[in-house]
Amino acid sequence: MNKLSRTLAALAGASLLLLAVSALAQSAKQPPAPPPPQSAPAPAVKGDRWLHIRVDGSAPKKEMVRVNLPIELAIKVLPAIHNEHLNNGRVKLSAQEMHDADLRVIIDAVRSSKDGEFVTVQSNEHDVRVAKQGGTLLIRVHEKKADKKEATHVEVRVPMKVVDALLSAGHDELDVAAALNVLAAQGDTELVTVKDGEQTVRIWLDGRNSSEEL
Amino acid sequence: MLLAKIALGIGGSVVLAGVYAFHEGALRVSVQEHRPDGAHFSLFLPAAIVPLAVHAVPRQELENAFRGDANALPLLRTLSKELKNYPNSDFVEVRDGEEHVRVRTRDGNLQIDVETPQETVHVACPLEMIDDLARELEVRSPAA
Repeated sequence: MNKLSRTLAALAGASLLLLAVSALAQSAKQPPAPPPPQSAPAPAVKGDRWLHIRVDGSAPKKEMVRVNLPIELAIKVLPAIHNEHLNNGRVKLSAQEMHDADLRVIIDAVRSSKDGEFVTVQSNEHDVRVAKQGGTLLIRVHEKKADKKEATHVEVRVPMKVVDALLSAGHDELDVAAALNVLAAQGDTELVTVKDGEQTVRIWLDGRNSSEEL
Repeated sequence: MLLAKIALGIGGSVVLAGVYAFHEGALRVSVQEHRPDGAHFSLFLPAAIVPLAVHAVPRQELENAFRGDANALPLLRTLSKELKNYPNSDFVEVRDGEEHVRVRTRDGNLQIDVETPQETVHVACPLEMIDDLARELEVRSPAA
């Protein structure tokens, strides 16, 4: 290699180093905190199902909770959790929690029956309605208050397939992982709505990774 | 001329080491106390060296840290591995009065931001680093 080639090689090497140093200096210039400018959440990947929990409190504190959880993530993480109550994606129910009721028998009765209302209670304090409509278990509770603004409305909609999956484990177990698997296959679903004088709670399933209203 | 070559060699090695150290991004922690004489603590570390730092932790300390919670590391690994598959997302946000907590992912980083009247805390941690760290801890944990 002659002197000219060596010089050119050295110059090329030095230029590359200068470029690298400059790039490093640029990254080092970034302040350590707060975190870099935030880009908005990207749209969820097609096919992902997200479980959303949204709690909005009323004034003056205006508490707010937003939870956005990819069902697929929950399905993969659940088996990694092992504790007294949750094991391999299954929740162990104690006899006390079951209140001596055989949940499976009750659900079997609901499953095998036709669409319609099973329980309707109307009193001065509560209105309760339990029904099955198009493969969905529907529970509505209205707790009455003197001040109508304070009244509590609860609505729970659970696809029967999800209930079946939840009860597919042993007698005293709830198979949460199986239920999530079935839930992931459902379309956009409103699962729980609770409204009272202090807050509004919504739990629903859709294909977006954000719980903000469209 | 010889001196220049040596300087070039050392400079090149430093640059390469720097580029390697930051190839996984950086762990950033910032704590700002909101009071007149409040402290402001900032940490900026190349993510690649954090799992290596585990080697410097005495085994006894690791045993103490993970005693009674053997699931933590597999859970952490699964979580970090899976979170990488999702786009930028806000996973948890809680606002209660003047307190505000956010857990989200941005560009391959897990970000935790806590704002209270007493202090502001920002943590940004590459998911790749959490995965590496959990793997390293698993290898060195007593159960391994």
